[in-house]
Amino acid sequence: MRFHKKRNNYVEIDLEKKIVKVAIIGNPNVGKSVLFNKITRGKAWVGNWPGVTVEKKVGKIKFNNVVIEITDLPGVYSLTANSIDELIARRFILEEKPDIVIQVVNATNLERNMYLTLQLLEMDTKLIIALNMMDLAEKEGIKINVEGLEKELHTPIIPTIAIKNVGVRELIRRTIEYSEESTPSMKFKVRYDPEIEKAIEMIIEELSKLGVERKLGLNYRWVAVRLLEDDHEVTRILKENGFENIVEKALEVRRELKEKLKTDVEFMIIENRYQNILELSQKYVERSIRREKLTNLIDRILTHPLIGFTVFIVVVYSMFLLSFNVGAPISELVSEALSTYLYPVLRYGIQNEFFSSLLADGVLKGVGIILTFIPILFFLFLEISFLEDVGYLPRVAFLFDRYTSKFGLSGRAVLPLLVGFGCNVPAILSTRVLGSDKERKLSIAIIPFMSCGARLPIYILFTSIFFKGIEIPIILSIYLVGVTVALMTAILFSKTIFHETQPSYIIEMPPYLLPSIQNMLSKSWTYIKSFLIRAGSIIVGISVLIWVLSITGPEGYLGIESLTDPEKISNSWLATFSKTLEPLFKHFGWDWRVIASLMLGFIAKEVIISSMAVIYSVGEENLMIELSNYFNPLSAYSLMIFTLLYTPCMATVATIRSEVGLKYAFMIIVYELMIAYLTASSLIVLAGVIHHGF
Amino acid sequence: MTSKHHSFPLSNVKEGSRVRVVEITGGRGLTRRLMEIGILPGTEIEVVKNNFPGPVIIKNETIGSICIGYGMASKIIVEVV
Ligand SMILES: Nc1nc2c(ncn2[C@@H]2O[C@H](COP(=O)(O)OP(=O)(O)OP(=O)(O)O)[C@@H](O)[C@H]2O)c(=O)[nH]1
Repeated sequence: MRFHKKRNNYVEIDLEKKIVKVAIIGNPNVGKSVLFNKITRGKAWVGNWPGVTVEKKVGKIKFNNVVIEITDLPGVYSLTANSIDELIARRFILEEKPDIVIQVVNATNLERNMYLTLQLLEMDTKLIIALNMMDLAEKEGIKINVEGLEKELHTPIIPTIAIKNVGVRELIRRTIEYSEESTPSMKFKVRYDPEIEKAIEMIIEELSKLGVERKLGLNYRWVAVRLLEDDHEVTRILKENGFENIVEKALEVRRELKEKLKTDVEFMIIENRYQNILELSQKYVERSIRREKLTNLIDRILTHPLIGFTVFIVVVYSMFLLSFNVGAPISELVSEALSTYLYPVLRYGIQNEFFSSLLADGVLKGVGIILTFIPILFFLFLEISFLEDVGYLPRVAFLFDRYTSKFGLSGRAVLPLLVGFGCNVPAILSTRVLGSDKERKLSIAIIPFMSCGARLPIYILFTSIFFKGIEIPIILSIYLVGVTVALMTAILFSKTIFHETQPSYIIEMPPYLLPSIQNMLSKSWTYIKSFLIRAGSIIVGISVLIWVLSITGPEGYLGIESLTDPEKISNSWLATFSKTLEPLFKHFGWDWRVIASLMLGFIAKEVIISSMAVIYSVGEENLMIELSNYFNPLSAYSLMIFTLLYTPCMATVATIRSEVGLKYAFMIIVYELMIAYLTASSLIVLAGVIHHGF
Repeated sequence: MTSKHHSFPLSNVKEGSRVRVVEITGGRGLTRRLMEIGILPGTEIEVVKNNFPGPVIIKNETIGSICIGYGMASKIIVEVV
């Protein structure tokens, strides 16, 4: 226990602050994120838990004389370690030993939430319950006797309405207060079947003989129950510390119990917990008949096979309309402002030419790209948050799952994938709405094959030269190739690296709710912030690197004219690399200039066109004529396919890296380059076969 | 009473029916996961929506309203009440 300090706002000059470590936990969709944001007032460090794509948020707040350090644990139904989320949450509680654990409980769904409560109490955590969604509980006619439940559980319960900031202050106050109190001597104990209780007693006795609690800091009763539940983590920990005997003994007891009870002990334990919960709810929860006519009606419309799909198409279409029609012009304005006002200042305002070009052509270019993303990201995330908060996304999942599950994806992945057609960056970020680590990684791997808006100008340019009159079917065919490759990749990945052919998941179906604007804004800000911070530096870095490779070559520094002078650029490293790669692309009919343009396309795919204009040394207006001398329909089509499939732009790569880590990002890049090369090559071969006959 | 004849997988249940869980035929992990959210043998649930062969939305006071995938639903054996 930490020292107790008397609160006195005037005399207290001691700056040494007391730190209270708090973990916040709860079932999925109970309002945990909202509550976390309210407690930390939006100030939090966001990252991933080590090794997985599960979001980790840590916030610090000062409250009078106390600093609360609060960690948001993944949404879980139990702490059994069924999934990576549960393992993370459990390890955090056992290893980091937070002073206080706050469980956010959905008041409209108390029983199922209390399963986790019982587990937390059994683990001997110092628990506070935030009884959230009190407004909905009231609407649904659910009355909870908070005082009675508090007494019986020996656990503070604070009713809250997170979205309306009701009860949050009280929760913080109580958390601090409770951290200063000693652990209550009375505890709520789950009552198991008498036979199981006997076994627990016996194991506890053995454990205390060995002094396990002292050595490992684990609660006896909890260890005993976990052993009976065949918990692999606990077994492992005990074995590692030389307590194999007790593990063996527990195994024997399990076997005996199974004989006696005629059922598996672990299942009996779960049933017993629920019996305890039902007893509690009979005592303390009162339900009058629910009125959910509206939810049912809306549900029937939104999940209707025909109407549901129509609504979905309209929703997605309006989403794109809003973000790209409102967001894109703002982006353009930003980029124009940068190039007409800031660029000249940097480029010509500084004496040293090298330095000014570094800033203008390297750094500013990267920053410009980051900035142009923001308006589109902002609108898209606002819309996605809206759809999420209003409760629409789970319905989309239900509607599509039937089809997507064949590819190892749950129906939830549909929205991020569609967003990918607009822009890959928000699509990758929005996979956060998906449940599992595997599902996120799988979707992230295939999103780059969704042909984003930046690739379209290239298709338009090339089809207008080589496929006059049939532009639209040709362009559609490219999108279709992208989707096909994506789905095939999904099957391949889910069968190989993820070993899971059918996603198994549980999705909450919340009632439809009016979302709070503030919550939507703060959510989209979180997305944008993580893009800026985590992907931003990489984007600027790559932009500078490409700048360096363009103005230097094997003969050394070429001068910054190299950026605009085709003569000079052909001596740069960029050209040198491209020339080395030329033999690999001979059968496409491309020379080094195409390869160099594609490399520059890594900055952003739309850069390919302007790069070609520079490298072929013509204005963009004359590019069409020039290109028609170098390409034929086949090499043009293979170029478009290659543009579609090859390594996504650096903003996407940076986002992938920041979401799933360097190793996986690297794997995706290599895979995508390979697929692009193979697909484009087989196209050429196929065309050759058709053309020449057999 | 619970003759095998009248029980079938949850994935095959008509929308709007009330059923009682008879058993879960999946592996240990799946059984545990479902039981921990309140889908226990003997539990009565309402099948709100069924997108056969796709996910199923079920509901009761303990569980609340949730959607489970076809794979899971086909391993929950139920009888009509
Ligand atoms: N009516 C009402 N809605 C709430 C309350 N608290 C949260 N919500 C809404 O409940 C939904 C889920 O909230 P989140 O904070 O995202 O839930 P979560 O527990 O973090 O969910 P996961 O991210 O799935 O773990 C959101 O749409 C919130 O706006 C509340 O007290 N009352």
